[in-house]
Amino acid sequence: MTDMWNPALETLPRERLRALQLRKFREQCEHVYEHSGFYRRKFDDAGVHPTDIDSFEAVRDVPMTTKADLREAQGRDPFPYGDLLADDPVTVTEYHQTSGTTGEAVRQADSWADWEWWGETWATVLWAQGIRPDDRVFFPFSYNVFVAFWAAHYACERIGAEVVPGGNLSSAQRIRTMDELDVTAFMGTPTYALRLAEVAREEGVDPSSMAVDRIVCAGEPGASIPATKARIEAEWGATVFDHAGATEAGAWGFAAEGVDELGLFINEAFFLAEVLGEDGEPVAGGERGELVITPLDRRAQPYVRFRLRDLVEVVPSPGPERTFRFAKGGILGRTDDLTKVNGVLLSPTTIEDVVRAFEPVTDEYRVLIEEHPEKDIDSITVVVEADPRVGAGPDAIRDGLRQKLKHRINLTADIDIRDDQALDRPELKADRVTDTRPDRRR
Amino acid sequence: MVSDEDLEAIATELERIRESTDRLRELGAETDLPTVERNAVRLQGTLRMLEAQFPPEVHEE
Repeated sequence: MTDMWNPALETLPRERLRALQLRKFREQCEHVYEHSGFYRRKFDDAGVHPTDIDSFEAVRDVPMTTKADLREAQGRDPFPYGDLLADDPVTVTEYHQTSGTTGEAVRQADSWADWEWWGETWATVLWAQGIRPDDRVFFPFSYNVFVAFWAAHYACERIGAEVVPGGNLSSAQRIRTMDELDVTAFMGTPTYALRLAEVAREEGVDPSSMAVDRIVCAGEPGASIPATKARIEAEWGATVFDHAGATEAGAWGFAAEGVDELGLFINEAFFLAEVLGEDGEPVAGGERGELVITPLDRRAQPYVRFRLRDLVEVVPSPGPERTFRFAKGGILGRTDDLTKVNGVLLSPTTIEDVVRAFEPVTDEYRVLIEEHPEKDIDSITVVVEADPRVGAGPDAIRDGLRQKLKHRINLTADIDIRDDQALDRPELKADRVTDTRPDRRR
Repeated sequence: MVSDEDLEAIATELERIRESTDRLRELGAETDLPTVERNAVRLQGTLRMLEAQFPPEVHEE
């Protein structure tokens, strides 16, 4: 059986893939210009008409869309989607919304045709990660209005896998259900995958002895962070796969079975992905830039050149057959996550990689950035829990972790050591960094 | 890998299904049969994605 959902598209020669992207991008622009007041204003203000788009250079004349634009558009009539909507409201069958992590939540309308798009693009992800009709997949979440798990649930059905919804259960009940039903795969944030392993042990179950052999991660970059991925795989005796997406963008990136290199294929048959520098121009291949995504087949509430704020380094496909480009190392951070501490640029994912690779501490941690109370400098404190299974003393933890952090982030951090389980374990997206400096509170 | 002949055959079948699905929806509306019209809308949505999986760039020279 093929390891691609659609080899005809996933192995399409690059020049044909590029021709497909340009055609679909232009068609999408025609659609939004015709049907969405929001996009028509944007295009007109920029002096761009969809018929002008005849090259990738011309694509860059099309104005980008930001989250602030979306909020502004949804403040207009008609309620609740504003003039962002590009289809007859009667076609809308699905309501979702963003998590609101970076501000007011954005409402998301999808028609049935769009919902099929979600299922299809997610099926591409899950098939590449080895989910097959004989799998039994557990979803340990109450999905609520968050689209990712609904879409993945629906994609599993599309593949023919059996879906076990696990909402409204405690973590212990989830473990018992997973064990009793011999589920072969589950989805979760990297944080919650680690938490479930802890709970399994508390319940007297060795997670690595369970039938789970695949874990599909979403919501946080951890499954592409080597130390986090290694911890989850060691706990569960299963293979961990990363996926990247957003309510606005859809499931644009996926790790695939049979590819040793950490990172994400970009589904270029359904998404136009641009990697841009601060000047808005494309960066050279392999250089770090901000990802700007256009889902090419979305109709009711489309996104044209949406600024995801994710930082990536995109290289040619690592093979063996897919022609899609590859975001090496996954999402390397977010433009709004990067912060300067004493003049040094700090990336939260680097701290995660250091902490999770340091065995004497558990998986959970927090980072606190503050103004030093007496000196004119910032201070950074990393709060960790001593892992009783390792049994290292406080001095060994403090000195060892401080040294490793200094080596990777070029800052000297204070280490605050707590008991095991002293820190909360979030089920959904975790925000572990608190910055209390004036004007940077988060 | 899928042969050009197979890709062409898939495209032809999709076209046939498209025609009959569109007609089914019209019939459902004309005869006021919600089960026909509404299910045809769902079929159209599914079909649209299958068509997107086999665009002209895949099967045309």
